[in-house]
Amino acid sequence: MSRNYAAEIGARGKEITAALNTSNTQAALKAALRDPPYGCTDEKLKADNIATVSGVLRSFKKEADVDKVIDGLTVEEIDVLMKYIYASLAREDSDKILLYWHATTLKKAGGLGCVIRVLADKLNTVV
Amino acid sequence: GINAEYGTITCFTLARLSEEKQHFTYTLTPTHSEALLMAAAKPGNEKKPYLDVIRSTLEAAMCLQNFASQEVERHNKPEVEWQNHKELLLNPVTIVRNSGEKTLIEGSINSIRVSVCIKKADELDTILAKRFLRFLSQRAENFIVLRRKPVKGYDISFLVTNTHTETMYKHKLVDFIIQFMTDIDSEISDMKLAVSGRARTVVTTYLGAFK
Repeated sequence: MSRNYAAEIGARGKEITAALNTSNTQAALKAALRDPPYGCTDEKLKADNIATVSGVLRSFKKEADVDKVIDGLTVEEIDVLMKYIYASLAREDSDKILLYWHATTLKKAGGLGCVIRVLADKLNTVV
Repeated sequence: GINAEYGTITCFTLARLSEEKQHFTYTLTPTHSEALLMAAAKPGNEKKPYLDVIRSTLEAAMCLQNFASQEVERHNKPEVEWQNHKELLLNPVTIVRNSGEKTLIEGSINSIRVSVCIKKADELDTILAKRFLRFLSQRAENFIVLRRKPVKGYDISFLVTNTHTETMYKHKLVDFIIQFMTDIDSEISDMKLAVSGRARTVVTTYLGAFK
């Protein structure tokens, strides 16, 4: 059963742009963290996906918004979020709000486990 | 450099030794207190989030254990340098602060490589950074965890192996790298001021002869 990554990423991208247009950043984030494209081999698709999610993360202009939205995330979503944060930090358009995202996610996760999973999990990568 | 026994850190500053016409000689003198004063005087808070991210990533990646080479018997190689076996390597992570500053952290089972790109505002900064960091890299034995050549695309690299984490405190090693990155900027800006100050003196004394 192979996943149709292009369809998933396309649908998710549309959902995210719709949510961002109505300034519903929380819904945009939830959509961005759903069904990460683990195992996708198409580099361009993965890059597009990261670009979209990075846009969502950078759309949070105020640190208070980040704090509000991070409380509603589950443990699995925190893991996926950390992977996307590192992927977004690697891009040239990295923003200082991403550094704040990293610090807040780390605090919410309660330790370095999510960071270690980003480094060590070679099967489930978003990049 | 690092005092291996106690894992302490000493910082170096460049001090001008003598000035004769156009000849200038330099020496490195350890002035820990001076460096601390410099670091305290500068408003370093803008870099703090960037360095915090690097610190937590380093703490996570610096979990190293001894691992003998799988290819050559009785050999022990830092696997991050070898890059042959994918199962021994961690995902490399880049943390970009802006177009001029980024850090690449590549981990593996027995070693971790940290490469840093320093912010360079203008040409003089580029020259000073290159010279200063090359000066330090060539004395890599004294710094123990420094790499002799920076990774391609970066200004300076550190290589920490399991022997280093066994003989030195891991939190101190992380502190050293973070301290290095904090001090590098102030060192280079001080050098830039010194160069422009000296240039000004030279020019005024030279042109004073034509008054």
